[in-house]
Amino acid sequence: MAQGPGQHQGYGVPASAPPPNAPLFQDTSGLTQFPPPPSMAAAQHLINNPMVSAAAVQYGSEFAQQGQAYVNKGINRLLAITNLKTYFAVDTSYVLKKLSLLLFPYTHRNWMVGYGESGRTSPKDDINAPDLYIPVMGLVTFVLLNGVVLGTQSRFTPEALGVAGSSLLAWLAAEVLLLWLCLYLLAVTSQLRWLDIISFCGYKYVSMIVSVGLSLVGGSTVYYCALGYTALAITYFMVYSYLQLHYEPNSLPLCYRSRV
Amino acid sequence: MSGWKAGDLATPTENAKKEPSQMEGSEEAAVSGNIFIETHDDEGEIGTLDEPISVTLARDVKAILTKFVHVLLPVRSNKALLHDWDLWGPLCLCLTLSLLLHGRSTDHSDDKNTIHFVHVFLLVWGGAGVVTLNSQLLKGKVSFFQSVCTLGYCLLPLTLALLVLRILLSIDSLTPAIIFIKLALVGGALTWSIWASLGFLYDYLAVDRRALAIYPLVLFYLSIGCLIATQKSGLF
Repeated sequence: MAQGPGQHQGYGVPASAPPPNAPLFQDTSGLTQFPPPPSMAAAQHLINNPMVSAAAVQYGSEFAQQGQAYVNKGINRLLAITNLKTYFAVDTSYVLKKLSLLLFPYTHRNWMVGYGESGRTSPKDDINAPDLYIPVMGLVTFVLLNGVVLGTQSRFTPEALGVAGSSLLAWLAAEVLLLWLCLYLLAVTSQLRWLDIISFCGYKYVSMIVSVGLSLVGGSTVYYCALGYTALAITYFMVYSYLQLHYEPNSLPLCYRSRV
Repeated sequence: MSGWKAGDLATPTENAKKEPSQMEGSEEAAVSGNIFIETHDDEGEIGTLDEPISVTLARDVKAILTKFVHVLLPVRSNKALLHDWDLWGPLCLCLTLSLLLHGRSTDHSDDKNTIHFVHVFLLVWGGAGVVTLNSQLLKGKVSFFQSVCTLGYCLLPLTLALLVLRILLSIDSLTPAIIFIKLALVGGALTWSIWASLGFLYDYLAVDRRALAIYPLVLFYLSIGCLIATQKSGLF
Protein backbone atom coordinates (compact mmCIF):
# COMPACT_ATOMS: atom_id res chain seq x y z
CA MET A 1 0.00 0.00 0.00
CA ALA A 2 2.97 2.22 -0.17
CA GLN A 3 2.55 2.64 -3.88
CA GLY A 4 1.46 5.90 -5.31
CA PRO A 5 -2.08 6.65 -6.31
CA GLY A 6 -3.15 5.36 -9.72
CA GLN A 7 -0.89 2.33 -9.65
CA HIS A 8 -2.41 -1.11 -10.17
CA GLN A 9 -0.62 -4.34 -9.53
CA GLY A 10 -0.45 -7.11 -12.02
CA TYR A 11 -1.60 -5.24 -15.09
CA GLY A 12 1.81 -4.77 -16.61
CA VAL A 13 1.39 -1.07 -16.44
CA PRO A 14 4.57 0.98 -16.41
CA ALA A 15 5.33 2.23 -13.00
CA SER A 16 5.38 5.81 -14.11
CA ALA A 17 1.70 6.60 -13.59
CA PRO A 18 1.15 10.34 -13.94
CA PRO A 19 0.71 12.18 -10.60
CA PRO A 20 -2.57 14.06 -10.16
CA ASN A 21 -0.99 17.38 -11.03
CA ALA A 22 0.59 16.09 -14.23
CA PRO A 23 0.11 17.99 -17.49
CA LEU A 24 -2.77 16.80 -19.61
CA PHE A 25 -0.66 15.35 -22.39
CA GLN A 26 2.34 13.08 -22.22
CA ASP A 27 5.56 14.64 -23.45
CA THR A 28 6.30 12.41 -26.38
CA SER A 29 9.24 14.32 -27.79
CA GLY A 30 11.73 11.69 -26.69
CA LEU A 31 9.77 8.68 -27.81
CA THR A 32 10.95 6.51 -30.70
CA GLN A 33 7.67 4.74 -31.19
CA PHE A 34 4.40 6.17 -32.45
CA PRO A 35 1.75 6.05 -31.05
CA PRO A 36 3.05 6.15 -27.50
CA PRO A 37 2.14 2.99 -25.57
CA PRO A 38 -0.97 3.82 -23.65
CA SER A 39 -1.21 3.54 -19.91
CA MET A 40 -4.39 2.75 -18.09
CA ALA A 41 -4.49 6.03 -16.35
CA ALA A 42 -3.89 7.97 -19.52
CA ALA A 43 -6.42 5.96 -21.47
CA GLN A 44 -9.11 8.59 -21.24
CA HIS A 45 -6.72 11.15 -22.65
CA LEU A 46 -6.04 9.03 -25.70
CA ILE A 47 -9.11 10.08 -27.60
CA ASN A 48 -8.51 13.68 -26.72
CA ASN A 49 -4.98 13.40 -28.12
CA PRO A 50 -5.25 14.92 -31.61
CA MET A 51 -2.46 12.81 -33.08
CA VAL A 52 -4.07 9.58 -32.00
CA SER A 53 -7.51 10.61 -33.11
CA ALA A 54 -6.15 11.73 -36.47
CA ALA A 55 -4.47 8.36 -36.87
CA ALA A 56 -7.71 6.61 -35.95
CA VAL A 57 -9.65 8.62 -38.51
CA GLN A 58 -7.08 7.85 -41.16
CA TYR A 59 -7.11 4.13 -40.46
CA GLY A 60 -10.89 4.19 -40.44
CA SER A 61 -11.10 5.91 -43.80
CA GLU A 62 -8.56 3.51 -45.27
CA PHE A 63 -10.65 0.56 -44.16
CA ALA A 64 -13.74 2.24 -45.59
CA GLN A 65 -12.04 2.75 -48.93
CA GLN A 66 -10.88 -0.85 -49.03
CA GLY A 67 -14.38 -2.00 -48.27
CA GLN A 68 -15.81 0.26 -50.96
CA ALA A 69 -13.31 -1.05 -53.50
CA TYR A 70 -14.26 -4.60 -52.59
CA VAL A 71 -17.96 -3.84 -53.07
CA ASN A 72 -17.30 -2.13 -56.38
CA LYS A 73 -15.28 -5.07 -57.61
CA GLY A 74 -18.12 -7.40 -56.69
CA ILE A 75 -20.68 -5.27 -58.50
CA ASN A 76 -18.50 -4.99 -61.57
CA ARG A 77 -18.04 -8.71 -61.71
CA LEU A 78 -21.77 -9.17 -61.45
CA LEU A 79 -22.76 -6.69 -64.10
CA ALA A 80 -19.73 -7.04 -66.39
CA ILE A 81 -20.77 -3.92 -68.21
CA THR A 82 -17.26 -2.89 -69.09
CA ASN A 83 -16.76 -6.19 -70.88
CA LEU A 84 -19.66 -5.69 -73.26
CA LYS A 85 -17.54 -3.89 -75.79
CA THR A 86 -15.09 -6.79 -76.09
CA TYR A 87 -17.97 -9.07 -77.00
CA PHE A 88 -18.78 -6.83 -79.93
CA ALA A 89 -15.20 -6.34 -81.07
CA VAL A 90 -15.71 -8.57 -84.06
CA ASP A 91 -14.89 -8.21 -87.68
CA THR A 92 -16.22 -9.78 -90.84
CA SER A 93 -13.60 -12.51 -91.14
CA TYR A 94 -14.19 -13.60 -87.54
CA VAL A 95 -17.94 -13.84 -88.13
CA LEU A 96 -17.53 -15.85 -91.32
CA LYS A 97 -15.04 -18.22 -89.73
CA LYS A 98 -17.22 -18.67 -86.68
CA LEU A 99 -20.29 -19.40 -88.76
CA SER A 100 -18.43 -22.06 -90.72
CA LEU A 101 -17.14 -23.44 -87.42
CA LEU A 102 -20.66 -23.68 -86.03
CA LEU A 103 -21.79 -25.65 -89.05
CA PHE A 104 -18.67 -27.78 -89.47
CA PRO A 105 -16.65 -28.03 -86.23
CA TYR A 106 -15.12 -31.44 -86.86
CA THR A 107 -11.76 -30.32 -88.17
CA HIS A 108 -11.05 -27.68 -85.53
CA ARG A 109 -8.24 -28.66 -83.19
CA ASN A 110 -7.50 -25.97 -80.63
CA TRP A 111 -10.60 -24.97 -78.67
CA MET A 112 -9.00 -23.05 -75.81
CA VAL A 113 -10.09 -19.48 -75.32
CA GLY A 114 -7.00 -17.32 -75.25
CA TYR A 115 -6.02 -14.99 -72.45
CA GLY A 116 -3.66 -12.09 -72.92
CA GLU A 117 -2.23 -9.75 -70.29
CA SER A 118 -5.38 -7.70 -70.08
CA GLY A 119 -7.84 -10.54 -69.64
CA ARG A 120 -9.49 -12.31 -72.47
CA THR A 121 -8.31 -11.71 -76.00
CA SER A 122 -10.82 -10.02 -78.21
CA PRO A 123 -12.74 -12.05 -80.78
CA LYS A 124 -10.87 -10.32 -83.58
CA ASP A 125 -7.67 -12.11 -82.61
CA ASP A 126 -9.00 -15.40 -81.34
CA ILE A 127 -11.49 -17.58 -83.18
CA ASN A 128 -12.46 -19.34 -79.96
CA ALA A 129 -13.45 -16.24 -78.04
CA PRO A 130 -17.22 -15.95 -77.57
CA ASP A 131 -18.93 -12.88 -78.97
CA LEU A 132 -22.42 -11.46 -78.71
CA TYR A 133 -22.90 -10.20 -82.26
CA ILE A 134 -23.79 -13.60 -83.72
CA PRO A 135 -26.36 -14.49 -81.00
CA VAL A 136 -28.08 -11.10 -81.21
CA MET A 137 -28.24 -11.12 -85.00
CA GLY A 138 -29.30 -14.76 -84.91
CA LEU A 139 -32.19 -13.95 -82.61
CA VAL A 140 -33.44 -11.09 -84.78
CA THR A 141 -33.01 -13.07 -88.00
CA PHE A 142 -34.79 -16.08 -86.59
CA VAL A 143 -37.79 -14.01 -85.48
CA LEU A 144 -38.05 -12.44 -88.94
CA LEU A 145 -37.59 -15.81 -90.63
CA ASN A 146 -40.40 -17.11 -88.46
CA GLY A 147 -42.58 -14.35 -89.84
CA VAL A 148 -41.63 -15.21 -93.41
CA VAL A 149 -42.42 -18.90 -92.93
CA LEU A 150 -45.76 -18.07 -91.35
CA GLY A 151 -46.44 -15.78 -94.26
CA THR A 152 -45.83 -18.52 -96.79
CA GLN A 153 -48.35 -20.64 -94.90
CA SER A 154 -50.79 -17.71 -94.75
CA ARG A 155 -50.71 -17.81 -91.00
CA PHE A 156 -48.90 -14.54 -90.44
CA THR A 157 -50.12 -12.19 -87.74
CA PRO A 158 -47.99 -9.42 -86.30
CA GLU A 159 -48.58 -10.79 -82.81
CA ALA A 160 -46.84 -13.98 -83.87
CA LEU A 161 -43.59 -12.06 -84.29
CA GLY A 162 -43.83 -10.72 -80.77
CA VAL A 163 -44.74 -14.13 -79.40
CA ALA A 164 -41.80 -15.73 -81.21
CA GLY A 165 -39.36 -13.10 -79.97
CA SER A 166 -40.43 -13.26 -76.36
CA SER A 167 -40.56 -17.04 -76.22
CA LEU A 168 -37.06 -17.22 -77.72
CA LEU A 169 -35.80 -14.88 -75.01
CA ALA A 170 -37.57 -16.90 -72.33
CA TRP A 171 -36.04 -20.16 -73.55
CA LEU A 172 -32.61 -18.52 -73.66
CA ALA A 173 -32.98 -17.31 -70.09
CA ALA A 174 -34.10 -20.75 -68.92
CA GLU A 175 -31.18 -22.44 -70.62
CA VAL A 176 -28.64 -19.99 -69.26
CA LEU A 177 -30.01 -20.42 -65.73
CA LEU A 178 -29.98 -24.20 -66.02
CA LEU A 179 -26.41 -24.21 -67.26
CA TRP A 180 -25.28 -21.83 -64.55
CA LEU A 181 -27.02 -24.01 -61.94
CA CYS A 182 -25.22 -27.09 -63.19
CA LEU A 183 -21.89 -25.32 -63.13
CA TYR A 184 -22.58 -24.12 -59.62
CA LEU A 185 -23.71 -27.47 -58.27
CA LEU A 186 -20.79 -29.30 -59.77
CA ALA A 187 -18.45 -26.69 -58.28
CA VAL A 188 -16.68 -26.12 -61.54
CA THR A 189 -14.39 -23.16 -61.13
CA SER A 190 -13.84 -21.49 -64.42
CA GLN A 191 -13.36 -18.16 -65.99
CA LEU A 192 -16.67 -18.25 -67.81
CA ARG A 193 -18.93 -15.31 -67.03
CA TRP A 194 -22.64 -14.77 -67.60
CA LEU A 195 -22.06 -13.15 -70.97
CA ASP A 196 -19.98 -16.13 -72.08
CA ILE A 197 -22.76 -18.54 -71.19
CA ILE A 198 -25.32 -16.36 -72.99
CA SER A 199 -23.03 -16.22 -75.97
CA PHE A 200 -22.53 -19.98 -76.16
CA CYS A 201 -26.23 -20.63 -75.74
CA GLY A 202 -27.00 -18.12 -78.44
CA TYR A 203 -24.91 -19.86 -81.06
CA LYS A 204 -27.62 -22.43 -81.65
CA TYR A 205 -29.76 -19.80 -83.38
CA VAL A 206 -27.48 -20.21 -86.37
CA SER A 207 -28.40 -23.88 -86.62
CA MET A 208 -32.06 -23.06 -86.26
CA ILE A 209 -31.88 -20.44 -88.99
CA VAL A 210 -30.16 -22.87 -91.35
CA SER A 211 -32.73 -25.60 -90.74
CA VAL A 212 -35.76 -23.35 -91.08
CA GLY A 213 -34.28 -21.53 -94.07
CA LEU A 214 -33.66 -24.76 -95.89
CA SER A 215 -37.19 -25.87 -95.11
CA LEU A 216 -38.47 -22.87 -97.03
CA VAL A 217 -36.65 -24.15 -100.07
CA GLY A 218 -37.00 -27.89 -99.80
CA GLY A 219 -39.95 -28.90 -97.68
CA SER A 220 -40.14 -31.11 -94.62
CA THR A 221 -37.62 -33.83 -95.60
CA VAL A 222 -34.91 -31.25 -96.15
CA TYR A 223 -35.94 -29.66 -92.86
CA TYR A 224 -35.50 -32.86 -90.85
CA CYS A 225 -32.18 -33.71 -92.51
CA ALA A 226 -30.84 -30.24 -91.90
CA LEU A 227 -32.14 -30.32 -88.34
CA GLY A 228 -30.35 -33.57 -87.61
CA TYR A 229 -27.08 -32.46 -89.13
CA THR A 230 -26.98 -29.04 -87.50
CA ALA A 231 -28.00 -30.50 -84.13
CA LEU A 232 -25.06 -32.89 -84.21
CA ALA A 233 -22.69 -30.15 -85.31
CA ILE A 234 -23.75 -27.71 -82.62
CA THR A 235 -23.57 -30.44 -79.95
CA TYR A 236 -20.01 -31.23 -80.99
CA PHE A 237 -19.18 -27.53 -80.87
CA MET A 238 -20.68 -27.06 -77.40
CA VAL A 239 -19.04 -30.13 -75.91
CA TYR A 240 -15.59 -29.11 -77.06
CA SER A 241 -16.11 -25.50 -76.05
CA TYR A 242 -17.14 -26.43 -72.54
CA LEU A 243 -14.40 -29.05 -72.11
CA GLN A 244 -11.95 -26.24 -71.44
CA LEU A 245 -13.78 -25.56 -68.17
CA HIS A 246 -11.52 -28.10 -66.49
CA TYR A 247 -8.59 -25.81 -66.76
CA GLU A 248 -7.67 -22.62 -65.01
CA PRO A 249 -6.39 -20.31 -67.71
CA ASN A 250 -2.93 -19.82 -66.28
CA SER A 251 -2.37 -23.47 -65.59
CA LEU A 252 -2.38 -24.36 -69.23
CA PRO A 253 0.85 -25.21 -70.95
CA LEU A 254 2.13 -22.37 -73.05
CA CYS A 255 1.18 -23.99 -76.32
CA TYR A 256 -2.50 -23.68 -75.39
CA ARG A 257 -2.38 -20.06 -74.45
CA SER A 258 -3.02 -17.36 -76.96
CA ARG A 259 -0.02 -15.94 -78.71
CA VAL A 260 -1.15 -12.39 -78.09
CA MET B 1 -31.17 46.94 -68.35
CA SER B 2 -33.67 48.89 -70.31
CA GLY B 3 -32.61 47.44 -73.58
CA TRP B 4 -33.02 43.85 -72.52
CA LYS B 5 -35.50 41.84 -74.49
CA ALA B 6 -36.55 38.26 -74.36
CA GLY B 7 -34.51 37.22 -77.30
CA ASP B 8 -31.33 38.84 -76.20
CA LEU B 9 -29.84 35.95 -74.34
CA ALA B 10 -29.55 33.79 -77.42
CA THR B 11 -25.86 34.03 -78.08
CA PRO B 12 -23.09 35.82 -76.25
CA THR B 13 -21.00 38.32 -78.12
CA GLU B 14 -17.39 39.31 -77.86
CA ASN B 15 -18.22 41.99 -75.31
CA ALA B 16 -19.68 39.53 -72.90
CA LYS B 17 -16.76 37.20 -73.38
CA LYS B 18 -14.17 39.84 -72.65
CA GLU B 19 -15.53 41.00 -69.35
CA PRO B 20 -14.82 38.00 -67.13
CA SER B 21 -11.15 37.97 -68.09
CA GLN B 22 -10.83 41.60 -67.20
CA MET B 23 -12.35 40.91 -63.86
CA GLU B 24 -10.09 38.02 -62.99
CA GLY B 25 -7.14 39.92 -61.70
CA SER B 26 -8.54 42.47 -59.30
CA GLU B 27 -11.17 41.90 -56.72
CA GLU B 28 -12.12 45.51 -56.68
CA ALA B 29 -13.29 45.57 -60.29
CA ALA B 30 -16.83 46.73 -60.52
CA VAL B 31 -19.21 43.88 -60.77
CA SER B 32 -21.15 45.71 -63.34
CA GLY B 33 -21.65 44.89 -66.89
CA ASN B 34 -24.30 45.04 -69.47
CA ILE B 35 -27.05 42.55 -69.51
CA PHE B 36 -28.07 44.19 -72.72
CA ILE B 37 -26.26 42.13 -75.32
CA GLU B 38 -26.81 42.50 -78.99
CA THR B 39 -27.79 39.13 -80.20
CA HIS B 40 -26.47 37.93 -83.42
CA ASP B 41 -25.47 34.43 -84.30
CA ASP B 42 -22.80 33.69 -86.81
CA GLU B 43 -24.76 34.71 -89.85
CA GLY B 44 -25.76 38.03 -88.38
CA GLU B 45 -29.49 37.29 -88.22
CA ILE B 46 -31.81 38.24 -85.44
CA GLY B 47 -32.52 35.79 -82.68
CA THR B 48 -35.10 33.20 -83.61
CA LEU B 49 -37.42 33.72 -80.68
CA ASP B 50 -38.89 36.91 -82.08
CA GLU B 51 -39.94 35.79 -85.50
CA PRO B 52 -43.52 34.90 -86.40
CA ILE B 53 -44.54 31.27 -86.19
CA SER B 54 -45.12 30.93 -89.90
CA VAL B 55 -41.48 31.78 -90.56
CA THR B 56 -40.31 29.16 -88.06
CA LEU B 57 -42.60 26.50 -89.48
CA ALA B 58 -41.66 27.38 -93.03
CA ARG B 59 -37.98 27.08 -92.20
CA ASP B 60 -38.42 23.69 -90.57
CA VAL B 61 -40.63 22.38 -93.35
CA LYS B 62 -38.07 23.56 -95.88
CA ALA B 63 -35.33 21.75 -94.00
CA ILE B 64 -37.35 18.54 -93.99
CA LEU B 65 -38.15 18.82 -97.68
CA THR B 66 -34.51 19.48 -98.53
CA LYS B 67 -33.56 16.30 -96.74
CA PHE B 68 -36.25 14.42 -98.61
CA VAL B 69 -34.71 15.57 -101.87
CA HIS B 70 -31.30 14.46 -100.64
CA VAL B 71 -32.69 11.01 -99.97
CA LEU B 72 -34.38 10.75 -103.34
CA LEU B 73 -31.27 11.82 -105.17
CA PRO B 74 -28.50 10.68 -102.90
CA VAL B 75 -25.13 12.27 -103.46
CA ARG B 76 -22.39 10.95 -101.27
CA SER B 77 -20.72 14.29 -100.67
CA ASN B 78 -23.91 15.72 -99.24
CA LYS B 79 -23.78 15.55 -95.49
CA ALA B 80 -26.84 17.58 -94.60
CA LEU B 81 -28.66 14.59 -93.16
CA LEU B 82 -25.92 13.94 -90.72
CA HIS B 83 -24.96 17.44 -89.70
CA ASP B 84 -28.40 18.96 -89.23
CA TRP B 85 -30.22 15.93 -88.08
CA ASP B 86 -33.80 16.21 -86.92
CA LEU B 87 -36.43 13.65 -86.09
CA TRP B 88 -39.46 15.41 -87.58
CA GLY B 89 -39.01 13.89 -91.01
CA PRO B 90 -38.76 10.31 -89.72
CA LEU B 91 -41.79 10.96 -87.53
CA CYS B 92 -43.88 12.17 -90.48
CA LEU B 93 -42.77 9.19 -92.57
CA CYS B 94 -43.48 6.78 -89.75
CA LEU B 95 -46.95 8.22 -89.22
CA THR B 96 -47.71 8.01 -92.94
CA LEU B 97 -46.49 4.43 -93.10
CA SER B 98 -48.52 3.44 -90.07
CA LEU B 99 -51.66 5.12 -91.36
CA LEU B 100 -51.35 3.46 -94.74
CA LEU B 101 -50.35 0.06 -93.44
CA HIS B 102 -52.80 -0.49 -90.65
CA GLY B 103 -55.85 -2.43 -91.57
CA ARG B 104 -59.32 -1.30 -90.75
CA SER B 105 -61.23 -3.75 -88.63
CA THR B 106 -64.30 -3.65 -90.87
CA ASP B 107 -62.27 -5.00 -93.77
CA HIS B 108 -61.35 -8.38 -92.40
CA SER B 109 -63.46 -11.06 -90.89
CA ASP B 110 -60.92 -11.93 -88.22
CA ASP B 111 -58.94 -9.06 -86.90
CA LYS B 112 -56.05 -11.18 -85.74
CA ASN B 113 -54.40 -10.60 -89.08
CA THR B 114 -54.63 -6.86 -89.07
CA ILE B 115 -51.51 -4.86 -88.73
CA HIS B 116 -52.15 -2.27 -86.11
CA PHE B 117 -50.79 1.25 -86.00
CA VAL B 118 -48.67 0.36 -83.00
CA HIS B 119 -46.94 -2.51 -84.78
CA VAL B 120 -45.55 -0.34 -87.52
CA PHE B 121 -44.60 2.44 -85.15
CA LEU B 122 -42.72 0.06 -82.86
CA LEU B 123 -41.09 -1.70 -85.78
CA VAL B 124 -39.78 1.53 -87.26
CA TRP B 125 -38.44 3.14 -84.09
CA GLY B 126 -37.39 -0.06 -82.36
CA GLY B 127 -35.72 -1.35 -85.49
CA ALA B 128 -33.89 1.93 -86.08
CA GLY B 129 -32.77 1.91 -82.45
CA VAL B 130 -31.44 -1.64 -82.65
CA VAL B 131 -29.59 -1.03 -85.90
CA THR B 132 -28.02 2.12 -84.45
CA LEU B 133 -27.05 0.39 -81.20
CA ASN B 134 -25.44 -2.33 -83.21
CA SER B 135 -23.38 0.04 -85.30
CA GLN B 136 -22.36 1.93 -82.16
CA LEU B 137 -21.21 -1.26 -80.46
CA LEU B 138 -19.27 -2.07 -83.59
CA LYS B 139 -17.42 1.22 -83.09
CA GLY B 140 -19.10 3.24 -85.79
CA LYS B 141 -18.48 6.96 -85.71
CA VAL B 142 -22.03 8.25 -86.09
CA SER B 143 -23.88 9.45 -83.04
CA PHE B 144 -27.10 7.77 -81.98
CA PHE B 145 -29.58 10.35 -83.24
CA GLN B 146 -27.72 11.03 -86.45
CA SER B 147 -28.03 7.39 -87.37
CA VAL B 148 -31.70 7.17 -86.36
CA CYS B 149 -32.40 10.30 -88.41
CA THR B 150 -30.71 8.85 -91.50
CA LEU B 151 -32.52 5.53 -91.20
CA GLY B 152 -35.82 7.32 -90.77
CA TYR B 153 -35.37 9.62 -93.73
CA CYS B 154 -34.41 6.73 -95.98
CA LEU B 155 -37.87 5.28 -95.41
CA LEU B 156 -39.14 7.78 -97.97
CA PRO B 157 -38.83 5.51 -101.06
CA LEU B 158 -40.70 2.75 -99.25
CA THR B 159 -43.47 5.14 -98.25
CA LEU B 160 -43.85 6.37 -101.80
CA ALA B 161 -43.95 2.79 -103.05
CA LEU B 162 -46.66 1.96 -100.54
CA LEU B 163 -48.73 4.95 -101.66
CA VAL B 164 -48.40 3.97 -105.32
CA LEU B 165 -49.17 0.35 -104.50
CA ARG B 166 -52.36 1.16 -102.66
CA ILE B 167 -53.51 3.42 -105.46
CA LEU B 168 -52.85 0.64 -107.96
CA LEU B 169 -54.56 -1.95 -105.78
CA SER B 170 -57.79 -0.04 -105.99
CA ILE B 171 -57.79 -0.36 -109.78
CA ASP B 172 -59.45 -3.72 -110.31
CA SER B 173 -58.25 -4.31 -113.81
CA LEU B 174 -54.69 -4.72 -112.63
CA THR B 175 -55.44 -7.60 -110.25
CA PRO B 176 -53.94 -10.49 -112.33
CA ALA B 177 -50.60 -8.75 -112.67
CA ILE B 178 -50.58 -7.45 -109.13
CA ILE B 179 -47.92 -9.83 -107.88
CA PHE B 180 -45.41 -8.62 -110.44
CA ILE B 181 -46.29 -5.01 -109.76
CA LYS B 182 -45.81 -5.62 -106.05
CA LEU B 183 -42.46 -7.30 -106.55
CA ALA B 184 -41.22 -4.59 -108.86
CA LEU B 185 -42.39 -1.70 -106.69
CA VAL B 186 -41.30 -3.09 -103.35
CA GLY B 187 -38.04 -4.47 -104.69
CA GLY B 188 -37.17 -1.19 -106.36
CA ALA B 189 -38.05 0.88 -103.30
CA LEU B 190 -36.08 -1.48 -101.09
CA THR B 191 -32.92 -1.20 -103.14
CA TRP B 192 -33.32 2.58 -103.30
CA SER B 193 -33.72 2.88 -99.52
CA ILE B 194 -30.79 0.64 -98.76
CA TRP B 195 -28.59 2.35 -101.32
CA ALA B 196 -29.51 5.81 -100.00
CA SER B 197 -28.87 4.97 -96.34
CA LEU B 198 -25.62 3.23 -97.20
CA GLY B 199 -24.56 6.26 -99.16
CA PHE B 200 -24.85 8.40 -96.05
CA LEU B 201 -23.50 5.98 -93.49
CA TYR B 202 -20.84 4.13 -95.43
CA ASP B 203 -17.93 6.38 -94.60
CA TYR B 204 -18.65 6.30 -90.89
CA LEU B 205 -18.60 2.56 -90.39
CA ALA B 206 -15.40 0.90 -89.26
CA VAL B 207 -13.57 -0.56 -92.21
CA ASP B 208 -13.34 -4.23 -91.32
CA ARG B 209 -16.88 -4.42 -90.00
CA ARG B 210 -18.91 -2.85 -92.75
CA ALA B 211 -20.72 -6.03 -93.71
CA LEU B 212 -21.58 -6.65 -90.06
CA ALA B 213 -23.17 -3.23 -89.70
CA ILE B 214 -24.93 -3.40 -93.08
CA TYR B 215 -26.63 -6.72 -92.33
CA PRO B 216 -29.11 -5.47 -89.67
CA LEU B 217 -29.83 -2.42 -91.83
CA VAL B 218 -30.83 -4.71 -94.69
CA LEU B 219 -32.96 -6.76 -92.30
CA PHE B 220 -34.70 -3.60 -91.09
CA TYR B 221 -35.70 -2.36 -94.53
CA LEU B 222 -36.54 -5.89 -95.64
CA SER B 223 -39.02 -6.35 -92.81
CA ILE B 224 -40.76 -3.08 -93.65
CA GLY B 225 -40.77 -4.09 -97.30
CA CYS B 226 -42.41 -7.40 -96.38
CA LEU B 227 -45.11 -5.55 -94.47
CA ILE B 228 -45.72 -3.41 -97.53
CA ALA B 229 -45.81 -6.39 -99.84
CA THR B 230 -48.59 -8.05 -97.88
CA GLN B 231 -51.05 -5.24 -98.52
CA LYS B 232 -54.22 -6.40 -100.13
CA SER B 233 -56.67 -3.57 -100.10
CA GLY B 234 -56.62 -0.42 -102.16
CA LEU B 235 -56.91 3.12 -101.05
CA PHE B 236 -60.36 3.97 -102.40
